[in-house]
Amino acid sequence: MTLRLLVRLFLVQGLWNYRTLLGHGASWVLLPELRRTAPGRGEGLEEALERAAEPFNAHPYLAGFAIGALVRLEEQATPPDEIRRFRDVVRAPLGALGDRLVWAAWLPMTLLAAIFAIALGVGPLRAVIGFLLVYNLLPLVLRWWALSAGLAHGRAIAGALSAARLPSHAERIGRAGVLLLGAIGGFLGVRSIQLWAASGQLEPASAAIAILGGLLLFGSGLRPRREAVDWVPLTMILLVIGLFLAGPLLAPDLLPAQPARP
Amino acid sequence: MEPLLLLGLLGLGAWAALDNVALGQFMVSRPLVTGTLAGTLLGDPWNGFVLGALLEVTHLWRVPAGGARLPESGPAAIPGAVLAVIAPPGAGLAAGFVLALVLAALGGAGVVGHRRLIGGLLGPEAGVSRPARLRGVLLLGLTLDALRGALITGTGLAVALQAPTGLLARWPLDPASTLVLLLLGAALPAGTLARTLLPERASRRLLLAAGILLGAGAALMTGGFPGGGP
Repeated sequence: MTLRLLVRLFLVQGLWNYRTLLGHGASWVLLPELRRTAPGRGEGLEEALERAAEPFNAHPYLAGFAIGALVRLEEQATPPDEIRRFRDVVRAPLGALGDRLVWAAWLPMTLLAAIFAIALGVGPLRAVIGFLLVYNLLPLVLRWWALSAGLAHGRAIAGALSAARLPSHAERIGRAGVLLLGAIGGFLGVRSIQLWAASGQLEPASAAIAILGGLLLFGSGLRPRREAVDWVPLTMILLVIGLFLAGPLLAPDLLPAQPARP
Repeated sequence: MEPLLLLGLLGLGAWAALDNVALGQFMVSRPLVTGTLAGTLLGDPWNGFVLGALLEVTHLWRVPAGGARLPESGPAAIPGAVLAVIAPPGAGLAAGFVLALVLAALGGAGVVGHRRLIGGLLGPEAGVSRPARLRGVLLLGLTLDALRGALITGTGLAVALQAPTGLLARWPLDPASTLVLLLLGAALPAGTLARTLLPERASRRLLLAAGILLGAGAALMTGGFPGGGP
């Protein structure tokens, strides 16, 4: 049963929508178990599926907590109102803890590690394969652990969740991510100087702009106001298009046409 | 472009769209992954990696919490990487980056539309309490998601392969200065990413300073991008 649920959990967001959020996905994951438990509750499978598809949300890697617990609650023929209350109580923590641990810490940290690996001599393809292997370790462990804990503890999953101390793990991972972000900045800063001083590939003005401008913009990003960062993609689009259009004015010695690489 | 290569790139786009939300979330959908894989298929993983890394840093500070509406960079990075590889150095990277940013915004709008469609198909009167109907909507949703990714990738590839050489030749910056410009654009989101990673200010400053020293040391020891670099 655990393996079947685990495999189905990889599709828990397959029916994600703005009305029931993860609800219908959860009902699809639970379908085989509801086939087993619904007759024992004296109700039809369709009624059980409708209840399982009510609005619900959780981080996809931690949804197993709720799925496992719901299996136990269905097996125990728990009254529908109690099941609804349980779903309402767990959805916020399962969402917030997963978002903080995975989306705001583990994913950026592993991606930054892959980017910094280039500085240590790893080729791009190896860095990306390494990222996929390392990143997926945590989600696999989380999915298995969450489902096992949900099945083992039923509605008493709060103890297992708090014992895991996910927020403190997220903070540690976040620290490593910041260290890597600084390392990438330091690497690029020194490389800018090297490109200018050693090989002449970069003009002195460009090297100075790279370092000072980079520090200034990075510092701006650190400030709590986030409005400016929302405009970065559009600003870059307009800037690059503007440079293409104004190219001959800015660099009159441009070659008529550079040959495309084969 | 050879049909098999085209098929491979479209398949990668479809997989990236599926992996983004609906199927697995193994992070094949990250632009760093799709960009590098697309570059590798064309024989130049470096440009694909650089383009993917720029897209990552531009969008990574956004946390996809609670169904937030975000750009979808995974399929978008594929045509961006193709343009970065086939066009002249510098101009290709700049044009590829812009193409990927536009496609990522379109892809994000496509994700919203897809979610609304699924919500409509699962409406109260849709009879989805029947298992066969539920399974049918799931399969339809997955198929449409894959087609959506392939469409974004295909549209971008059509633009990348038809990009006028006359326009690309107008790019005024050399490859190194182009990279500096694009990195400057990524610096602001990188700062915001540092806040996302670690909200506590004092520790963040210390760790950033330690990281800068570490990175500077790595640059001095390796003396450049190993393997030639971008």
